[in-house]
Amino acid sequence: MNPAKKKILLVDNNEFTRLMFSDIFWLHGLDDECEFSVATTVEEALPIINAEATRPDVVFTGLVMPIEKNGKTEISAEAGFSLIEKIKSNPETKSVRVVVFSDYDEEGYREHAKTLGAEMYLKKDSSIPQDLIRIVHSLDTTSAI
Amino acid sequence: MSNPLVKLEGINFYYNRGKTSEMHALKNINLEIERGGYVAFFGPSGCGKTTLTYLIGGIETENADEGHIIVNGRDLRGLSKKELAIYRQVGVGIIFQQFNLLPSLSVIDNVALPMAFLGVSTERRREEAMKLLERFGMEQYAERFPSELSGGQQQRVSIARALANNPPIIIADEPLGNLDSENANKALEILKELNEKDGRTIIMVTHEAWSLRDAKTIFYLKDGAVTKEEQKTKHEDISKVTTLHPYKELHPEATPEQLAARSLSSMLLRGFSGQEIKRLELFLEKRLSGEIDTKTFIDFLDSPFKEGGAGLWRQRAEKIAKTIEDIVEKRKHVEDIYKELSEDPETPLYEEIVRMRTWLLEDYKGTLSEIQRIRFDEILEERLRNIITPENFRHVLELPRSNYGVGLSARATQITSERLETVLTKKQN
Repeated sequence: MNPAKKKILLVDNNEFTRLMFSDIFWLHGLDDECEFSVATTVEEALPIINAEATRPDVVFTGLVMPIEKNGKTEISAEAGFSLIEKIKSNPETKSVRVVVFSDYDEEGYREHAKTLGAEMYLKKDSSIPQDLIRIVHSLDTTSAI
Repeated sequence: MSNPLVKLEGINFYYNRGKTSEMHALKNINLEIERGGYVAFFGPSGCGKTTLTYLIGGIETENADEGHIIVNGRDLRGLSKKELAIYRQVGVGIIFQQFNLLPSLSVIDNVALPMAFLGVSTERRREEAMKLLERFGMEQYAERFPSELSGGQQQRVSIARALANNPPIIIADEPLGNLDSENANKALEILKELNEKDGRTIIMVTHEAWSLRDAKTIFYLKDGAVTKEEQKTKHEDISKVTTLHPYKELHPEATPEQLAARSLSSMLLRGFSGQEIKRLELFLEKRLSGEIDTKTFIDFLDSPFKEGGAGLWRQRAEKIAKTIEDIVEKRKHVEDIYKELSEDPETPLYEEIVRMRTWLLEDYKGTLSEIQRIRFDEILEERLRNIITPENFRHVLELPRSNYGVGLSARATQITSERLETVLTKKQN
């Protein structure tokens, strides 16, 4: 990994979102300034975030995703919220910046995400490729977005 | 080039491979296009230039037989169907000669359509589409339908649509073919702006030399192969680049008359089909070399297409004949004629039809539905090109819509057809 590049991780169980994100990075040459990786579940994301070598500077995450509860897999916003909570409650990962990128904007979601430490809340259907490019360009890994 | 945006390696493309009708459309193409470049694929129709851009645009990509289509380091031929579908939406914007706007959608919804594919909400996509329309001065037409716009306006809408998902690559496939000189110039200015101001990579396909003026690199294509790559220097004389020189590059064996015929024919028949332009080119060459006389040339221009002529209506035929006689009789330079035509070329057929329809129906009290208007334009075009007789024209005008006619009343049919024939035969009222 190139330490000079910003590391960005997208956590989303939707294949279309993952492909669109990575295509925008690829086609607009953002991979010159960023290292972009994806995880399809919270379980897959956590080891990437926890390991120092792979730890991203910024995580874009969905909210409503599969989550293991009492031995069963449920689809719930708890998945995304639990990820933010885990990142922000761990002293080693709490400086990782979190942007919610979700299909949903239910009452209380924004506020809850913010309370847990997410810096930005993007609703998928209100975001166009230009927005993502602008946000990635503006990402300074030492200050707020 | 250290890190080209597009790199084609050993591309071979066949139509109907393995069948008796097999055609080797692209032959071992190797080329590079830098990020932020402005390149043109220049060549006659059928040389493979559109197929080539469709490979880069992700349209024909899956059908390529051999080679690599590498965009920013990734081979498009290795992408899954889903990845390719997304690439087509966010990677490239295509501007077509025939505009390809959906007739049943308003202008703003046409521009917003590519964003719908990405799941963007109606509200946001209309907001963005309006910004794009404003950029090209088209905001007042947002709620109209494409058929209510002129060719130049439709082309600007189609450019706005190509930009909808902010693609880094813009493919313009014969973008000037259906435009008059003013609108063609405007379209070229826009392409230049998208390149210089936005930093987008422009790939233009053209068979007309005068549209090469802003391209920085020209790839010459002939019979499916790239025959030459030419980088333009900054201060090169544009008239030299855009008159006979490109045709000479493609056809070094051609006589001066053949080159002149080639460069003038598409300027004289803007908006006509490739077949008609090719036929004019043959007769032009014969007239310029003195093989046929003025009368034979005018007869050719004036006779119906089905009978081997150009099928032009009288006024246009006379104007073309006069232009060519200026060269033959007065020894006017082809370059000067070319310059005159590039500043004020013959109106493209498309614009002519719209203008003619508006004039013919000036006093018509009813309104035509979109289907009626399309049908009307079709038969008007066929009549202007001398493909159908005045009787055929009248018949289809009066035929009910259910029988694929326009469905005008007997009286409206008579008035309209008389008005048209008066102009076509140039008799005074």
